[in-house]
Amino acid sequence: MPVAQIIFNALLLTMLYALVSSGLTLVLGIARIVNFAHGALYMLGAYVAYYVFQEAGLPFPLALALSVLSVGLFGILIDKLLFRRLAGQFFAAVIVSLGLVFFVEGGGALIFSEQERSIAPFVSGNVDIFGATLSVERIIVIFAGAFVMLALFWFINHTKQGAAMRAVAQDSEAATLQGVNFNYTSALAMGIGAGLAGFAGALLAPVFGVVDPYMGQTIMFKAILVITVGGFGSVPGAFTAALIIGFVESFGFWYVEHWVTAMLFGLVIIVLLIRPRGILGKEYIMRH
Amino acid sequence: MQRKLTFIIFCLILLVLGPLLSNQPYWMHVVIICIYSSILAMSWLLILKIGHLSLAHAAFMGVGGIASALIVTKAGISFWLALPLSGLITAIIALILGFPLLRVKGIYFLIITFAFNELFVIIIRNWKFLGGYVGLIGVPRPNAIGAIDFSSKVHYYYLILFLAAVTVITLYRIYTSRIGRIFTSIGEDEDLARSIGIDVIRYKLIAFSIGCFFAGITGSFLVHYLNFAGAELFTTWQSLYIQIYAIVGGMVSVIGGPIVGAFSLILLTEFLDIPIKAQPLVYAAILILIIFFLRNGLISLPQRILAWRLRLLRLLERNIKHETA
Amino acid sequence: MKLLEIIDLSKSFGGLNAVDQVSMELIRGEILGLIGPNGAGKTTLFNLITGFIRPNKGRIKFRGEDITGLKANEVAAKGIVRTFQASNTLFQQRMVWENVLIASHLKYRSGLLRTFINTPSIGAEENNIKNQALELIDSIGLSTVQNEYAVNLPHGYQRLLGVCLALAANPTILLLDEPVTGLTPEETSAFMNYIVKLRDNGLTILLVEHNMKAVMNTCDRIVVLNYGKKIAEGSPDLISKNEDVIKAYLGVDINVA
Repeated sequence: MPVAQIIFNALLLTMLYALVSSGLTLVLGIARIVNFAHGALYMLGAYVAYYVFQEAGLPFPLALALSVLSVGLFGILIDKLLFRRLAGQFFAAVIVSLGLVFFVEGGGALIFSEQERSIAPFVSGNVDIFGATLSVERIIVIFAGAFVMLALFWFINHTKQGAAMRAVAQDSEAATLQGVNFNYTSALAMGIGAGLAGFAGALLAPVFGVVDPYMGQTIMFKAILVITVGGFGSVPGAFTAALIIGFVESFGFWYVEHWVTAMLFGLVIIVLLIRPRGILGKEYIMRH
Repeated sequence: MQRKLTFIIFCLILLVLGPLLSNQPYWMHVVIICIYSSILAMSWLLILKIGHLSLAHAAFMGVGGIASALIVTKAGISFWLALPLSGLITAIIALILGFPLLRVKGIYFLIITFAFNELFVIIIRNWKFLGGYVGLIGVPRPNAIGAIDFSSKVHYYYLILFLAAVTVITLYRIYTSRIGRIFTSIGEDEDLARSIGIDVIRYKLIAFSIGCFFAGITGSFLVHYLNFAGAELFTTWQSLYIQIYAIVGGMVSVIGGPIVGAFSLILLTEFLDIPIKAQPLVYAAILILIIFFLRNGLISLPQRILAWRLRLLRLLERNIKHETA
Repeated sequence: MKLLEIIDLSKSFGGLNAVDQVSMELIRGEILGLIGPNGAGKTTLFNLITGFIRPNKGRIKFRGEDITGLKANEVAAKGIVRTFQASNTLFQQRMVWENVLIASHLKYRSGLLRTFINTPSIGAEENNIKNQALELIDSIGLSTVQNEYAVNLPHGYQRLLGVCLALAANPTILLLDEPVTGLTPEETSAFMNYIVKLRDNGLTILLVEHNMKAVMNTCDRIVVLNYGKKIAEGSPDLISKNEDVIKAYLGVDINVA
């Protein structure tokens, strides 16, 4: 396989991981929860896209928008109903988020049936660059992903809400004293994080071609890898780590196949033991 | 207190004599699952008591299970030796892994054990010797002892009951002694424990090894019971199930809680005929309800009901006083 | 006799020198006060001595023996025991007597296996240590609340319990981390009197405290830190007149009543 192809795949993976992990790390840094059900949200986004685009035949951008909205709202719902009530009880929140994995994936299996469904690509055609055959669809996905990541960076760094989020991530008490509404900011973070996961799920569904209720599990593992290496709570860190892991996986897969994932997990375990705060993360302060 | 004791004795009699009353293989299978799930939940809880939430308990069960399968099939050793040996192997691996892992704080430990369980599954799935994608098939039954040849579920039933008894007695001894106090004090406040001279890392390793030991011997039992050792028995989802049993049952009771949790949830699934597909959903719903409304688990229910009745009575008393005043 | 020697001890976090080449000693039978403005490095020094963090440079000697780098529980086993700044650093869900019993950990001689099997000697040892614990509780004045859960104790009693736990560990040196924060003036002087009594009974004490009155009235000597460095050392009288000390505390009322 030509190097260009491997690089291209790496970029695709980078975008996927960046989108999903940013959401996860955002929620972690602001709402202070490790949402293990994040992968399940990705799955929900994919299924919304399936029903809107594949089953109902509606245009793909509409499917994307609906995924973001519905999963984002679902995220806010979970936050209000469950996580807000457990504010400060870290252990209980973790248990609940683990329970949610069961709940959402189990519910998905029940409603959608365990059988995997296929989705047709949203645009067809290939392009030849540097000897590699790249599908137009994937090129669009990479650019769409990059665009959303840029939008996210802009939002966090140049809007009032983004500033509020950064303040809460750094010191929630001080932020509250400055007039930031913690609950609102947390819910917003949850909504955006969930929306990102849903977006990624919907965007990548036609690319991977299949959806099944447990597809969130693999992505969850990768997302945890990424935020661990990149640093808890750091969005730029998540992006950097996504880049690293995307490339390691793409090149690694080509040479060592199955053992790539094993390698990656080994990497995570080592990172956690040597530098628990990751590349760009600050020492994560746990609220007990 | 009196009622609790009678209840426990009643349950024990039921458990011990059960198979003699009805030896329907289906129900024995269900209760066998309840019993070994209890062992897993109890041993998991021990690790939680030292302050570490492990998501790798199923993986350690897998270590014991696969070790046992290999020892018996490849080395031709008797199951009765393989059983404790697998437990020991699991404990040693836990000791080795625990050395770096237990130094790591709560959330990081959670993530590492999660990653470890995943890694474990991937390794077994991709290594033919450990089973590969299909798993190890043809794992033999335990070697016969006289007439007990394990052709009937009753034999397995009493075996797992015996193992559960060993577990309960061991844990009971630990928790009622100074050792248990040391473990729980580490879980409650590590720094305070350090300041009064408790060698935290040493005791954490001991507790972790003991917990994983019991996971290991359960794994050994399981693979010889199912005659099969495959990765799907040892996934992170299984680890989650174990956790749910312990928490739903009640973490406040270190032995009773996990047993109550495992039996309640598994029997509930059977009695209500909940389809396998809906099981995670139902369990999750129950877990979340417990966290919000009955934090101390099902085992605290009698206490809670008593408290409510008392409050109700007092309320009525006050109303009556108002009437007569 | 120099019980504790701290030689050129340094610790930095990132670029910040929390403790910068501090040298001092603790003499047997004295009550030494460690003071300084917020951020001066008192807590870090405290944590270094008790083994909760490791120094970058320097040595710590206890009775002439080098104990630098020992883990916190090893330092405690040597006889240097600390209390904590947060008054609720207790085994909250347990009763007072249980707390003290757990804190008596270092008194036990029996091995784990014997304890597990529960040989007769175990029971005897347990009773013995339990009695010692109850005696300690009595001598410190907590016997009225010995069956209370630690979490339910009023603030003053919690502080006493914290000291009681440290005492149960058989210390030669007792390190107190801001022990009278949050106590009323009456409680404070009762507490400080108790500290003096402990000293008179043979304990050596290192006290970190913000309450200047308590420090000046109780300590034999005082060491002052600022920006991680030792800026003054001497009797309370000397320290209260020391220009560098006054400058460091500029704006704070050093009221020596």
